[in-house]
Amino acid sequence: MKDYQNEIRKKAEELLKNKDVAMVIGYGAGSLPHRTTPIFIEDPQNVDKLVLNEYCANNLAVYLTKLKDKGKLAIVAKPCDVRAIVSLIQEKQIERDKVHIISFACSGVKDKDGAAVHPICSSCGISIPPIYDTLIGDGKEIKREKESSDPVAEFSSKTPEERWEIIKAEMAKCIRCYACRNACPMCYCEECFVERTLPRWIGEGAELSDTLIFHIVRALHAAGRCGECGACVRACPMGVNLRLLTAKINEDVLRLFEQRAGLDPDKPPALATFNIEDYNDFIK
Amino acid sequence: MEKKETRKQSQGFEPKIVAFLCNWCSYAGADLAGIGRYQYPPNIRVIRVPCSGRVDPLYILKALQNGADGVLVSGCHPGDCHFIEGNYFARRKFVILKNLLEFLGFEEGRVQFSWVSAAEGERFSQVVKEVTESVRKLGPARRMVKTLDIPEDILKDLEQRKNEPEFAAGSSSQLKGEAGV
Repeated sequence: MKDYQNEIRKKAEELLKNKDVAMVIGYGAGSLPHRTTPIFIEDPQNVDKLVLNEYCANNLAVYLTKLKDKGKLAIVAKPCDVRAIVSLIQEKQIERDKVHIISFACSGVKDKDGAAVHPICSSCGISIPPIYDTLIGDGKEIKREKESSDPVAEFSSKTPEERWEIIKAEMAKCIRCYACRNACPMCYCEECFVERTLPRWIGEGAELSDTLIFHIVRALHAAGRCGECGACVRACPMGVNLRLLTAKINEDVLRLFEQRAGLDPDKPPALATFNIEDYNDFIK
Repeated sequence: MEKKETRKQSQGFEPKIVAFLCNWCSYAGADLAGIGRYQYPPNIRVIRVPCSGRVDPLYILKALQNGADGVLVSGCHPGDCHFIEGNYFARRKFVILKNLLEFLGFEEGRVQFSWVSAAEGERFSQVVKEVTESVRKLGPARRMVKTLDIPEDILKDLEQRKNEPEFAAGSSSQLKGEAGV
């Protein structure tokens, strides 16, 4: 991916100089090795600050909804980030012609320690962006090694009691900082249900059931919209296995509704539509 | 008081079931069951909703958290929705919720769904009977109940002081009961 860095800088400079876009959202060098930081460039002189390497883990689509008042935005986006952008367009949170997507074929980003490709990336089946305005590189599909073990199948093979004990232990780790929610581009609600006071859905404090409700509802709100970028998993400071919930829902959406989020901007999200022939056997 | 005790002892665990019923079908179905004198167990607590599509999964989780042993959501048969398509959206939402809860280790049958029309009074009583029996078999819901996280030593202390006069109201046993998840 590093070879794309110069091309991205060139494109960003061109877009800013021609006043095609008001701002370029991209990655800048982080203050620590193996990390990058989101940067927002309005002056074409600053495009050299843009970097692109295998540590560009953040999903920058989260800033599109926050900065849309600036005017047209250009964004450096990996294919999974583009899926989030497509979902945002489907939900009319941003306009297609108000965003310039600079994308590329992605081979996956590395973990914080810089050693291995992140597990979410190694099992990712989508290496080319579904939509783009500028494609850097040849845009050829990059085959990934499929993960040897499927976390959902592995977890499902346990007994309900074992599963519950694992979930309880995972939830006990959560400090409810809501970093997972803040990092998610699909969590753009002005007021989240966890912060509502009338009624107060979630109590303050380390109550296990409240934490569990937060995580279940957060995952359900992303059902059929989650682009599987893993921003929530990476944002978690406590290492909660959030992937179990989202992966299970994504699998169900694919199996039951034959749809994956963020691949087709003209198709409504899976849970915002229906089919008369949908699975009905679970209802008495 | 005495009579209540014997009834409780003879029947064992009585589940509390929260039933979200659509105003346009199942709620009227429950009404018809009453008019037609079809009996059903008194374990359900009915909450009338304008459509099964109005039931947010959050409501179901909150019901479980606040002590419901089971939740029933009942709406109009496919094709019969008062709002044309509300129950179709609901169906997609509920299958995801149900699968996720079971995936996380919740017992199958804690949360149930049914289609009951306004003309199906007898069917409504049948559904409530089935749901009540299946939840009774599962026993009290333990997974999601709000817990007061009381440290072990305080619990022990409460247990020891249980018989002291100021604890006669039985608050200690109540606390202990709620903490046992």
